[in-house]
Amino acid sequence: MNRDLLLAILAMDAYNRGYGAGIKLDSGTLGKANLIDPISLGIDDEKYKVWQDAGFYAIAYEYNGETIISYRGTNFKVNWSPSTFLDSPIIKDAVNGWSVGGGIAGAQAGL
Amino acid sequence: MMARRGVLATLAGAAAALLGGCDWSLAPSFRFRMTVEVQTPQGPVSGSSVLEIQANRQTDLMTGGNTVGVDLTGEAVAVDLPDGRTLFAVLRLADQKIDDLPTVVMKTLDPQFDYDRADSAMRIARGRGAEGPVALSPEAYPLLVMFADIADPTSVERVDPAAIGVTRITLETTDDPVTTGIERRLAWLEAVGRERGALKPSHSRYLKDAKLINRVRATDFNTELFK
Repeated sequence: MNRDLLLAILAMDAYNRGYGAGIKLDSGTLGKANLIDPISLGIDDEKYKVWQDAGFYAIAYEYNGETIISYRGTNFKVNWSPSTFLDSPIIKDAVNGWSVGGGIAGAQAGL
Repeated sequence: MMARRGVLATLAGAAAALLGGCDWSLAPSFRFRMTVEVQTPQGPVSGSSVLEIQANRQTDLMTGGNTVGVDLTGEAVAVDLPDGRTLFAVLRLADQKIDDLPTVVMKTLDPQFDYDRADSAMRIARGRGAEGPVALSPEAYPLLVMFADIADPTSVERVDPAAIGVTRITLETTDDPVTTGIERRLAWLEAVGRERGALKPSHSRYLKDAKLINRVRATDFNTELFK
């Protein structure tokens, strides 16, 4: 398979693994790419919960001797319920991603 | 003046009612009891746990598409066996190739289930789901595990439901509170969750080498850890 095509597929694959997966995939391989077990990388339960709270997710692969990391970008989903609105993926991105990237002190201190 | 206050109070009440109704329809939730029944040489025993499912309607602002996010709250079912061991039904399915546990629960409790999990949660919450306990089909069973030494999380092993004598696993809607207190049985649960991502890691670098038992997490026993 063309390397660029595989990288594009792996970029999408981050949305189909872990919490809130769009499509349920259970295989430990994708084509000739091997998924690296997050547990072997020291991602414990508490860190994984922090990822979920922040709306972050990433997964690593090995392919032809390379290590490739795929991570989710901005998730534009919004919860319409008043009680869960602040848990909307886009709100989490705004609070934990954009504000940190923008250098807002409070957001950085929260990390 | 009083008339104006009355109008304002009425408007405020109407707004609160609308928001309340809005929340009900956009984030329906229901509680259910999962019960594991086991036939042992000493007779039948069972254990149960009350869990909660909340479904959240979501819109993707980029595509305009609608999806449903689902949250599960609660603990694994613990069954005390006459020989002193404890059987646990954890909060992940034994067959990872089929749906997740909340979807299996809704399929079981909602005869009209059509993969719109928000609608299904609302029907169940409104009492339009199945009445009385409903048996799960064996292929939709949660993963069953036991510990050779309950003080040692790495001694966790997968259990075959038929071999241990599981006769059925049932689901039933309830208003009872969500079960808590599993840390009294598994005192190490939180510490292990802070230390590693699985009770019994495969120690392999690759996910393809990990069996299902190597993926069982502390949060499969208690969803509320680290919240």
